[in-house]
Amino acid sequence: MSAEYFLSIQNLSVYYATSTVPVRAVEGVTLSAKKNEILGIVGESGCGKSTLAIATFRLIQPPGYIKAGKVVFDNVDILKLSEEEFRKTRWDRVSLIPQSSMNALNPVMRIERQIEDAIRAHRRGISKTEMKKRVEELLASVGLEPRVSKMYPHELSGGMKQRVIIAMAIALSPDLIIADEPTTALDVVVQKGILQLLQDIKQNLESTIILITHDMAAQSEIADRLAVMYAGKIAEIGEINAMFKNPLHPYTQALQSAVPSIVEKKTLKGLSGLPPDLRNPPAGCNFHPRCPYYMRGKCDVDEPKLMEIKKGRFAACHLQGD
Amino acid sequence: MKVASTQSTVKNLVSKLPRNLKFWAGTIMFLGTCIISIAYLSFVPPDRIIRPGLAPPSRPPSSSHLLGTDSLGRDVLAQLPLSALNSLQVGLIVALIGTVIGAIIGFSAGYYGGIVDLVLRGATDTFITIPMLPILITIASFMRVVHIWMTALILAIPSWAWPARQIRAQVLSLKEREFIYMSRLSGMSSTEIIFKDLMPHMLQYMGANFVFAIIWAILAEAGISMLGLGPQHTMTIGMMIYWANSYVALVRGLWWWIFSPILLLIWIITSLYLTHTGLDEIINPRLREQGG
Amino acid sequence: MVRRLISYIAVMWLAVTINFMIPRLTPGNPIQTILNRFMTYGVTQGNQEIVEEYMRRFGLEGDVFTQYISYLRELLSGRLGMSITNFPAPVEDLIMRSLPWTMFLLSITTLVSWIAGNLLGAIVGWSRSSKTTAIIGPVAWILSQIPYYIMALILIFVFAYSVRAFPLGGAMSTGMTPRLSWESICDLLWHAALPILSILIGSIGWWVVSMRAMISNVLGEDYIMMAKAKGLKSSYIMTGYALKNALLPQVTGLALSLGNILSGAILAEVVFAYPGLGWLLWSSVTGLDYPMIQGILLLIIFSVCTATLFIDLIYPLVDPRIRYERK
Repeated sequence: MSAEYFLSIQNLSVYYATSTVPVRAVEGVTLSAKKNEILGIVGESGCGKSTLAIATFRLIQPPGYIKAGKVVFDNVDILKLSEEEFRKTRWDRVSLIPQSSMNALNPVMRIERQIEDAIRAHRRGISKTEMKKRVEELLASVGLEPRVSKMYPHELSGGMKQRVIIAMAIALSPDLIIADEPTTALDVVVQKGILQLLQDIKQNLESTIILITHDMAAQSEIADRLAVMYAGKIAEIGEINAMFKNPLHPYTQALQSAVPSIVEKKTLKGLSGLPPDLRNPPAGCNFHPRCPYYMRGKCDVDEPKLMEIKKGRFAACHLQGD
Repeated sequence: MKVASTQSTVKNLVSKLPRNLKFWAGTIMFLGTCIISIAYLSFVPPDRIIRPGLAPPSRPPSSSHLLGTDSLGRDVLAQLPLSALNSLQVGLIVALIGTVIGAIIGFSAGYYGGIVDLVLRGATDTFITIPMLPILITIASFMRVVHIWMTALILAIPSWAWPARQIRAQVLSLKEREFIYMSRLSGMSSTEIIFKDLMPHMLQYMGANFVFAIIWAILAEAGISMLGLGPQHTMTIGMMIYWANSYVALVRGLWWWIFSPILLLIWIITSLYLTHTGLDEIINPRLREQGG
Repeated sequence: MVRRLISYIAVMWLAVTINFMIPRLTPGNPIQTILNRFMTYGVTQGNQEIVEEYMRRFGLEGDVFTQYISYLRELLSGRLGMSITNFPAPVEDLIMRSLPWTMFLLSITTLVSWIAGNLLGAIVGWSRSSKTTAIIGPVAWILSQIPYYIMALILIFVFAYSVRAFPLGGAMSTGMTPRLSWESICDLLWHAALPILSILIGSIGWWVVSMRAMISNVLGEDYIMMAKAKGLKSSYIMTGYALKNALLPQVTGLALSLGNILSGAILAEVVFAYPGLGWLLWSSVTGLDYPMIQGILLLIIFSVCTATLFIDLIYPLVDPRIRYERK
């Protein structure tokens, strides 16, 4: 991959062990993020996007395990680092806005202290007054009043908690922020605010943000490039506007036609069938049972590889390329 | 044809049974003990077991008396099945009374709420926080306890409190669940809701409570009897320990007399605890450790 | 808060009333037995005045209601009646003599077992090593199930009888009294060792098991994952995040278990003939010393309720969530 990509996930596979066959949550995913962009990862629930995020952070717990692959960040395979070395990288260079922010805050610790923790774990010699100022600045940058710092999590609303998490995530001005469903549990108005905030962060801190959400509308608002995931694999990656105008993968097409628009009157088309059982995925292309362009003899035998179809646009489909 | 269908029905039933190791280990241990005891007693009448003087007294374990004899010349091993069954009798009666009454009280408190709940909860909490053993000791000392059923009745007094609290908590959490709303919306009457929706869940918890109550009752009986407040005319595990203590068995070196009932007690309690923990895990899958 | 105090007073009142009613409700009229006993204790004449005097002393004159009032009055002035077996020694005096021994046992065992058990449970719960978990887990569980008095019997047999390392019972060797001398203290501790141990082993087991479950629960929570994501040190996550959250329910658990521990300690005292409240209760039961039994019972209820109330009042200071719900 060229130098402009500074996070490169290569052929990552994450499985979950069961009493029988392992569940292939993430299978051979290859994905890259450029500096200072917002890369969206979209897909239905259970397609593996959150697992991907957690795996990048090396927080996969048993019975999950990383089966294969590399995660190269700034030329270092972070999967190979020792626990202690990676601990130092965490948060300082890469931070995470986890999926359930409601519960991500320690219930018995004040907000201030929790943000402080993150900073102190990676920076030394900051005085108390200096720290207090920093925390208040951070809270202000996400639109929260200074008095929030003395509060406990249960005193905050959902939107406020989410902002606190974001404040924590940007505390050390990391190069990469992974936001996993940051707007899901919130109402629409608050959602807009959060998305705006993420965009501001990209601009002001020049960070790269990986936005993981099943909400296509949110993606279309702020993402620069988009990766579409289906059943643990990448279906398509590309610049977002081009993708919407001209989707290369049938699944992307289906996703797009399922998003309602208040501008034009269009018939919503859903997709028949259900996502596959990841313990026993279909042979060949894992989308073929639901694909309207299914080619018997080809799609159920050969697995399509993710290939660059046009400049900057990748798709894993037999319709493109071969 | 017929043979095949019976086989498959049995297979069907077996596959529906919970696969919890602790539950089965405990249940088998417990039932095994019961069966052996009952079998033994069908051959040897209780009178023969407790009649003094049938064997040389205070003999250590030997080939003729595997667990020795006590100071009154009774075979210690023979006393065990009798004690076990008598203690179990007490345990079962107390557990039955406690679980049923506790379920009724807990259910009423949770289901009806309001004043009913306030009053019942107050009573339940009182019985739970205040240590029951001293109270039981007091009550038992004021009565001259001679028969088992008296012991059982006394022990039944606080036995309902813990089940009541559990069932109440369960009813409270179930009351607000969506499937109850659905039942109400679809026009089911209160009684129907109680029996069709809530009862199956309740029964699971009542089952676990029942086992726990047996454990508590057996331990409480042993404790009370050891102090001399037990049924004087019946041989229970606690009474065995009591008699052994009265004859100062330990100091006189008659260790087999006092340790046999103790080990029997530990055995029964452990088996019941295993069953109970297993039941808990079956009811609440989240308790199951990864890997079963 | 007010509700809590009200329920406390209500429970105490209930306990007192039940205590009052028990002897009057049970068959066999124990009060008559008391009187008869007194007749035999050297009062050979048995004239009416003496009977009346006893009736008065024991608050038995007048109807039930008058008796109740006088009973309550006596209580509030700290009088619990007179012991039968040690007549005319007042019950409260005898209780005061036994109380320190029980307090000694209970305070040491409760504190040590709670602290040590929770710590050990946390370590086991946190540790990835399956060897420690596999051994300590079941062992702690088994130990927690064995009643204290059974443990007491086992300990006596092993350490006092077979190995003669410790005394068979009692609080001090005959002829010795508690004094601030090295000899006296050593003797005290030597006698207290087995009783303390019998309660300690079971209690620690219990706290280890419950804390381990609690820590397992907490470790599955999202904020722990977040803490790891933040790159915090493992030891810090354990103390600042996991432990703090796991200890809170353990404090409540302590309050709930006080009654249990006390009950167990009573039986253990009997086994060791340790002259605390438990042993006093037992000897009054054997001697049918009803006023004494009632007095001890009342004290036990009172102390457990008060201790529970105390913990309830302190809890908000520890758990910030409860604190703020009050505002």
